[in-house]
Amino acid sequence: MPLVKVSHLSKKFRGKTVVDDLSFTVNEGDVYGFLGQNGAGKSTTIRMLLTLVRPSSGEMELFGMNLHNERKKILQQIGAVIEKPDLYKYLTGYENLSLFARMSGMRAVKKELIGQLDMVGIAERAHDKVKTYSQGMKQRLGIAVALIHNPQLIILDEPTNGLDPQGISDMRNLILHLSRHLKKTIVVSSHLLHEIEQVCTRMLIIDKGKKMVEGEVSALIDPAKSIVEAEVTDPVSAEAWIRTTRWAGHLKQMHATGLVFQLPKNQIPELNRDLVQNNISVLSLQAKHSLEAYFLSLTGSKQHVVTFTD
Amino acid sequence: MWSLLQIELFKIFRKSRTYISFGAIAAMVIIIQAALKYDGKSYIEFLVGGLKDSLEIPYDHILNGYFVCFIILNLLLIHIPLLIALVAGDSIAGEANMGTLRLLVSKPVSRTQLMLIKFAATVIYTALLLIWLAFISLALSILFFGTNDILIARNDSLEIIRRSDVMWRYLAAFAYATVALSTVAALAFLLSVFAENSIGPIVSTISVVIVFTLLSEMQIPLYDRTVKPWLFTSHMLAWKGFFYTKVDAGGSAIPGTIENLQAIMKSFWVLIAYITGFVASAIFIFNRKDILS
Repeated sequence: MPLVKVSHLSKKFRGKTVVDDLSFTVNEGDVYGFLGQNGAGKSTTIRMLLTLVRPSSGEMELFGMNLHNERKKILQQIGAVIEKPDLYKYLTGYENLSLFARMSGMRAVKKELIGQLDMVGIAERAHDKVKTYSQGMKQRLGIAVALIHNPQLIILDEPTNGLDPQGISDMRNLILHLSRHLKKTIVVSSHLLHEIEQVCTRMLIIDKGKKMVEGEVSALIDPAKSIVEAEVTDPVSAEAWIRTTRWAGHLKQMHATGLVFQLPKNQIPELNRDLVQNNISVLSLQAKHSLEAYFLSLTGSKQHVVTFTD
Repeated sequence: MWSLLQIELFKIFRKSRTYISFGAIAAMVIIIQAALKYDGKSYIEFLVGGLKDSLEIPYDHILNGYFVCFIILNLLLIHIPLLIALVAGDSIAGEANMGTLRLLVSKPVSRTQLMLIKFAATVIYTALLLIWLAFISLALSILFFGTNDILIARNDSLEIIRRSDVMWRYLAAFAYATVALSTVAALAFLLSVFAENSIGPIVSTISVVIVFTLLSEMQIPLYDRTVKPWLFTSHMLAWKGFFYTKVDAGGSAIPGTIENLQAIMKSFWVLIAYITGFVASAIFIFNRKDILS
């Protein structure tokens, strides 16, 4: 059953189209990845789903109800963390949670609130002011706020932004826990391809506000194709030589420090040998994740390469 | 609705900024009271002007708690809008600045409801600020100076209101001042919708109040007829009307009367119209606003 059904959604800001005729569906139980570069239109789409931004055109149905007509009923069933989890810094974590629980229409029972803070691992700091929290703790509190009213649908917009590696790993585990054990439907947006690949069952890739592809993650990714980044001392002459060889068809991009290829993983040693044999000094050869390969094959612009090499 | 209002008040009164206004008022009132306690006679001489040469002025009689409170209100009510703007200007813009506005708007509460609650909380804050002002300016003045008849100076005449006829006038004046200052709160609230940090609406509100007050005070006949009757600042000082009584044939104040209740009521309705206009505009704009903060 589709929990979210978006049809021909568009948004223009001062004449500039940010989301362009976007349609997609999220089914019950999905961990739905919303993938695109910064500025692709992910956050705007999520804000439209949460009624923060008014669409220029299009329809949104959630839980079988029209979002415009049944806003209150729908929002009661959604929990969200939108970009940074900004909360009232002058209040304690407990007070923040209590306040938003009441706003979501539930009675704020102390035991439940502390239990929720315990689930995200900040119960010990419940009565400290949020301004003393680290970024990771704020993110956890944001998650607690999103979950306190036991929503069916959880929307996480760039949930790993600003987190350290441990925080990113915790977030990944939390998403998997919510999905597998609590049977929540989750929409998670990110520009971090690896994160999406690890947690999502279905995904949507958007670029410049337009839908590129939607489907099962496992069906969309071709593990045989990898993005390979070769760091060389002289990319210009290396490119000139590549253009005359059988590798020309695999060359996707050149940038200041190297070349980017798309090719099966097992051909990497061969490419390395040819480069070295033709006096091209190779500093490193790095195979990227398969989702990155797929993403590049869809959108393949210079911008994307820069993103991959970050 | 009540639960949402409680939340809003909780947020306001947990912010240290909120207490700046209460502290500032207390400081100003105590400074004025101390000055009058020390040298009230000079102030009364200044007030009665040339009349002191033709009349015997009973200074100790005049300098009482009711009179001191009247002086304090005259001096302070014109400046309190600045303190009101501190909180009202922060109501939406402050949330946008903190990033909490997007969380609030994504909760199952309509935007109109959210705005009405926020404005109601601002009005309650305004009323509490005036109750505080009433307490320290009236109660403390009575404590330090005692009570007696009150002398009101009007243009070239002096009017005496009996002490038994004063308290209800103060209650009416403070209630009116709450409405007057709620107009400033409504303006700051409206401007707050447009901004993403509270400095802009606070400064803009103060600027509007200063410009309007200057226009209201200017003695230019053209403005007297055309502009002044429509400026909310012209109507904010109508609370003084509660201290202007009808006089009998002998020139004595008639207890329990107000000289021109109609003028006060007209000013009251002008302020209500302003409040309604400001708040309705704020709700209209906010309902159509994309929350991008």
